[in-house]
Amino acid sequence: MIESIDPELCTGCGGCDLACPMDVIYMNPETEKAEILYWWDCMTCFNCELECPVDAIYVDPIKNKTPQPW
Amino acid sequence: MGVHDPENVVNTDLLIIGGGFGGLFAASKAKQNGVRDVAIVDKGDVARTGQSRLAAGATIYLFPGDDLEEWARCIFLGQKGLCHQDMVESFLEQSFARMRELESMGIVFRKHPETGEYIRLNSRGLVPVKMTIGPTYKKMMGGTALTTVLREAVRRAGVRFYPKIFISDLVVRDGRVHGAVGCHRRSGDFIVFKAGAVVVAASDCSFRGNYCCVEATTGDGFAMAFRAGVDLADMEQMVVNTAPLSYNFEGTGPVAQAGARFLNARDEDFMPQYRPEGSAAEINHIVQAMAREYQKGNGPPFFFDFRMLPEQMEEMFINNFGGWMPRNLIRLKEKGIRVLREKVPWAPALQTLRGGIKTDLHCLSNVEGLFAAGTAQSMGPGLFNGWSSGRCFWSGATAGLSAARYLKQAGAPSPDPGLTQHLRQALFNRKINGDGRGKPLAEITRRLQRCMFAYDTSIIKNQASLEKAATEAAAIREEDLPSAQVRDLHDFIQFKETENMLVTMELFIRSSLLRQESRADHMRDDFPEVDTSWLKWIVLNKDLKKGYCFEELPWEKYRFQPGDLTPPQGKSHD
Repeated sequence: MIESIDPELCTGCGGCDLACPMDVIYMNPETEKAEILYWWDCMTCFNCELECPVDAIYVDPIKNKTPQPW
Repeated sequence: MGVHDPENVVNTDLLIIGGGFGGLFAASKAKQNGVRDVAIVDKGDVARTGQSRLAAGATIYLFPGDDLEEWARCIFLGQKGLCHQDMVESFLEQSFARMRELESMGIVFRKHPETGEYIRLNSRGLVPVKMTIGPTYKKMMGGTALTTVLREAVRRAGVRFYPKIFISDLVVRDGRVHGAVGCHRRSGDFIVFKAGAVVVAASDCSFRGNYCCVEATTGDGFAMAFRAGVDLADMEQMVVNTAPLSYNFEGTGPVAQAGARFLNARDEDFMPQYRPEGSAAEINHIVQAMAREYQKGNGPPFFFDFRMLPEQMEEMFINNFGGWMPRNLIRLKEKGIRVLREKVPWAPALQTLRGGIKTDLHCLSNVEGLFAAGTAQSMGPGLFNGWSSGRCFWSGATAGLSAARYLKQAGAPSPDPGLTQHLRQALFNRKINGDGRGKPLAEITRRLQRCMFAYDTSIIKNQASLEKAATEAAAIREEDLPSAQVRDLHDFIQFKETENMLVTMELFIRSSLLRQESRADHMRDDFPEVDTSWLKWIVLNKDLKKGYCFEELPWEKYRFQPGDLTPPQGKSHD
């Protein structure tokens, strides 16, 4: 699950916002930096981390759990 | 946001809903064949957020010299006869051309350093069918590389992109499609696309499952098609794959072929009891065996044991798989988790619905001007390595070409203003309440998941369990949806997705109840046999008198016949 976006490193390019399939990341219009708004919806696909040109994003590989078949 | 907002209208010749492999190939072919204006709309971003981006990129390509008849037979047997043989042969015939097109766009397939040949592996369940692995583009690999070159190619061709727009409904009037409507997921603005033809290339449904990276697939294309009176088929064919409990992992096919073994709670390698191929068996056999072991009290937990794999397997995955998987393995390794050297807790995980919009060989649905591609289109049951990408390439290219031909003679679209207003009202059927009242959507989703993921709903079904699931679906529709908590636009889109998941769930249950046999991904404990009289498609359509009909397969134009399903020894393939 997405853990952090380093505001010092973030250039505000918006790539992570566009690359997120789950609408988790938003651009803050005031700071012009990317922010994690809906972390609980992250599906740990690493799209944002791979998209970021300055390695500002860290995604932890451990997921939110969903119900099992039994 | 809501019904008082200004209406945005976009006019186009061809609207493509969904920017994955199917949508991108449709756009490319439509442009190559003279369509003036093509628009792709996506609820995420075109080419960047869908399942195609996350794919490993392994694809079935029939090379010159490969035996088409043998490969087609393997797929026919793999799909247990419920096979659109004309589509499969067309897909195989065109597959090498698709590969060459990708190469002309800039894709480089990795080759053996010594022989210089393309790297090809057996497709699980379809041996001797082979998939070619390792597509690369610049520093990208797999689905990331493929979607990037396709996106660049269609953008160069002048295709317009409309990201972050959630399409809610197709505009269908008098048996013809006239466009689609939806809203922007960040502004909430209502948008009408007026289009001479539409390709639906956005759908699959995992019910936000525990399989890796499938949570954005919420059955949107299935639901919008169903509401518009489009035929859907094979909706009982759901693939439950397997996955680790705590993190993502994809690539069970190659590791099982390399020797990894599924174990039950007693540490027993149980698969050989069920299938001679053991843990390298087809996915449906593995999850059905896990369910049988559960019934015997031999699990959970279940495990996937990688400890006997060669040490270089981890390196092979990191170097040869694209996109998220290598990064995932690196991040896990940093936390001290060496997946490919451990015995990892594992379980069935719902991945994909193989049913979808029923089309002809040209990817045309029963609605004039409406085509389907990618996983929105039904191409029969089964999940084989390299199959999903290949079938999406084929159906995308076919739908794009067919739409181009159709548009040459089609009249201008004329969506009825009354109809679009009606669809607008249906879209904005929920008001946003910032006060936090109501049932959280996450709770509603969990209720839906508990029902869908239950082993006796999606793995080994029976009449009673399916009827129970139907009752639960009705309760979610009647009790939960009206009281759902919708706090902001993010919730609003999730609410619409939940509605679509529920429609898909109802279609799956209805089709599963109708098919009174066991075939391919559909296993009925009360009808465990493969029954030749059920070699027919179950077609669901809201406008049919009973809501469904059965359709015989067109055997007269097919190469393989029902008798070809029975091997000479008289053993069933199931």
